[in-house]
This record gives sequence, C-alpha cells and structure tokens, in this order.
Amino acid sequence: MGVIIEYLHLWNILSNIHLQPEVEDRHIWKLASNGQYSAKSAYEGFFLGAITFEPWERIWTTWAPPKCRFFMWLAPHKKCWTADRLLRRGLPSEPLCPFCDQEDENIDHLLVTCVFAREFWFFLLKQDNLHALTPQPIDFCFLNWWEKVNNTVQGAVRQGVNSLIILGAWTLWNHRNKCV
Amino acid sequence: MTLDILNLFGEASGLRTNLQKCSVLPIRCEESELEVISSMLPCNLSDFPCRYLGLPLSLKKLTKAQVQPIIDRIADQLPGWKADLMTRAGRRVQVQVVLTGMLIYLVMASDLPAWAIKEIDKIRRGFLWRGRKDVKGGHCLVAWVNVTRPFELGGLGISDLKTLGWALRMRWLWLQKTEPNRPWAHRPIHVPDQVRAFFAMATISEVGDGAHTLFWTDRWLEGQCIADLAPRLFAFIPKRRIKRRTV
Repeated sequence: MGVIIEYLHLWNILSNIHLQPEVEDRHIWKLASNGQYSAKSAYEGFFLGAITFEPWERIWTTWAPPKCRFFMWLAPHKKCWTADRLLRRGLPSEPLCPFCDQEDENIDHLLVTCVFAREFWFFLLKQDNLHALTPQPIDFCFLNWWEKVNNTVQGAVRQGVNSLIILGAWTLWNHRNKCV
Repeated sequence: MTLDILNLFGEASGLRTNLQKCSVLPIRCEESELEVISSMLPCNLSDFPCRYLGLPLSLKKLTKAQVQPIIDRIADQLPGWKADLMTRAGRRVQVQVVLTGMLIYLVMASDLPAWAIKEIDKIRRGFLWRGRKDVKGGHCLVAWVNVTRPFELGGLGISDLKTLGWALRMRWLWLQKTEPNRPWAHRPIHVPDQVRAFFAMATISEVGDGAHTLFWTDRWLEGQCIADLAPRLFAFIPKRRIKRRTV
C-alpha cells in the first residue's frame, strides 16, 4: 500500500519535470561557494558540526611570534606544567604561587587573579592608556577576561591588544619559570 | 613492434627509451608468449607488485613489507633536522608541511592501512613534542586527536591522515561524475562507504538532458534524491538498475 502511495507521489513530482535535451547536467559541490570540489572543503566538511574553539582567531591571527602563540594555545587547554597539575601527578613542586606566595598556583591564577599579575597587566596596558582593561578581582578565568577585553576594543586596536596580551602572558609564564 | 614504436617516439621527441631501466610486466601470459617477448624486448622481466609513477602498484592489498619503506622514508627525514634549535611552533610547521606534505600524493591514490597511519602519527607526534622519533605520553602535552584538528576547532592545524585521505580520494568520485569522458570513468572506484555517503550528501545535480545524472541515487529533485523521497519503492529496484539508470 505504502509503495503505491510513494509511486503515485513520485509520478506527481516527475510529471512536472521537463528535460532540456541541449543542456548538459551540472553537478554542484555544496561545500564550496563556487560549486567546485576542492580537497580543502571536503576535509573541512568532515569536521562540520564540531564545537568551535572560541579564542582561535585571537590566538592565531595576531602579530605575536609563533612560539608565543603556541604557548597561548596550550594555556586555555590547561596543559602548562603549573603546580596544580604537577602535584596531581605526584611530582615534586611548591603548591603556592611563586609571585604572591598566598594562593595555590594554577594557570588562571598565574595569568589573572594573582596580585602580581594584575599589577603587571596594569602597567603594561597603562602605556597605551588601556589600563581600564586590567583584570579586576571579579575576573577568575583568563579566557573570560580576554574575551571581555576583546569585545571592548575594535579594529586595529583589537589586533594590537590581543598581541599585547599574548606577549604579556608569555612574559609572565617565562618569569614564573625563572622564579621556580 | 613495441620497440619500433618506442624508437619512433624517441626519434620524433628526443625522449629515447633506456631499455636497461625498463622492465616488462606480463599480465596473464603463457610461457611461450613470455619467450617471444623476452626475445623482442631486451628488458628484464619482473612481476607485480612494482612502482608505477612513484606509487606502489599491486594487484592485491599492499603488504606490510611494501608499506614499510614509505614509513621509513618519513622517519629518515628527522635526523637531518636540528630539532633542538627549533621551537615547538617551528616543528609544528615542519610536521604539517614536510612530514604530512610528503604523503599527500600517496594517500590521494591509495588507502594507507590503519597500522601505517598509526606508525606515521607516532613519528609526527614525536617530532612535534620532542623533536625525535621515540616519545612517551608524558612529553605530549595535548592528546593527538586534539592536535590534528583545524585551528578553529582548537587544534594545531595538522592534518588527520585518515580524514585527509578520504577528502583527497573523494576527488575521483567528483571527476567521475563531472567528467564522464575520462577513460576510467565507467569503472568502479574503491573508496570506503563513509566517503561515498559523504560525497552523496555534498553533491547536488541540476538536470539538463539527464544523461549524466543517476535517476535513483543522485540528488536532482531540488536537492533530494528519489531513494530518500520514496524509500519503500526504492527497496524494490534491482541493484544493477540503480547503478545504471540515468534521468
């Protein structure tokens, strides 16, 4: 029964279609805007629907040197060897932050919530009169703070500030490594 | 006869054939025919598998011994590089551009077995994190699946070999569809089912005379195919007809 209904339905659709004998068939690749296959678009197509890594543009399109950008890619993945991660693996390490000696060290603390880091950001951003963007005590997460800053500024300034933040974070991290 | 043609071609184009570097590959030949061939063509007789256009050519699935040289060639790159003087960011570029780039030609043509991809990934991973071949889990700060994603998705933009091979080999399906005059176009193309399904989803057809659009499975009715519109009817159609019938 269902087959006959489908057949009649199909008949209905096809009766409205007229072939044009002198026109060739055209095949369109939906994943590229020009309708032509490319390996790049096909490769990207396999990742369709995956979750976007929000700060990717801020990290990879700035003017900071590649090694700093690489560090900046590791930091949001929480893959830098900070004390909290070392201790979790039972490796010898000082649990307190080397800058303030008050709180436990982790990547968000090192880059944002530490008083030393806040002061560092204040002086760094003050040179360009952007000290209003300095992390406040309510900012707990480096990425959230960065996103907020990114949304506050526009155009070329945004590019500059993002580069500055990457370089600043890189400096903080290097300084921390020298202290430990 | 063959020799005459080759000589003639050599005279006309200046591209002379060096018979010492040639080999004869008989396909379904009798013993007596082989003798005739070897008397006419003074080349050495060899057999499949062989290399053709730089690729391993085999009648059967590639064996481990045939794939191993490819992996070794990649591993041989590393000792010459001053890995300790490079930052990880520099090594990332090296991995993507050189180690992965070397493979593009190969994976475009043939399907690398899963174990080979694993071996190659081991080399790529080791070089990225440590600058050498052997590496332990502790040296790798980020899981390899997360590294081999595009930048937008939180990766390092290093290609995932399996997906890369799929995307590249989809090209043959596309050419088969859009350029049916190619001599191989009517022959079956061996790709995994996922690739075929993905290709079907990504391609829609605009019918003109309908000669190169498959009636049942191509998506030609406003981006839909009849197999989806009438699945119960489609189940009754013989397989041969599904593959042949055009609009």
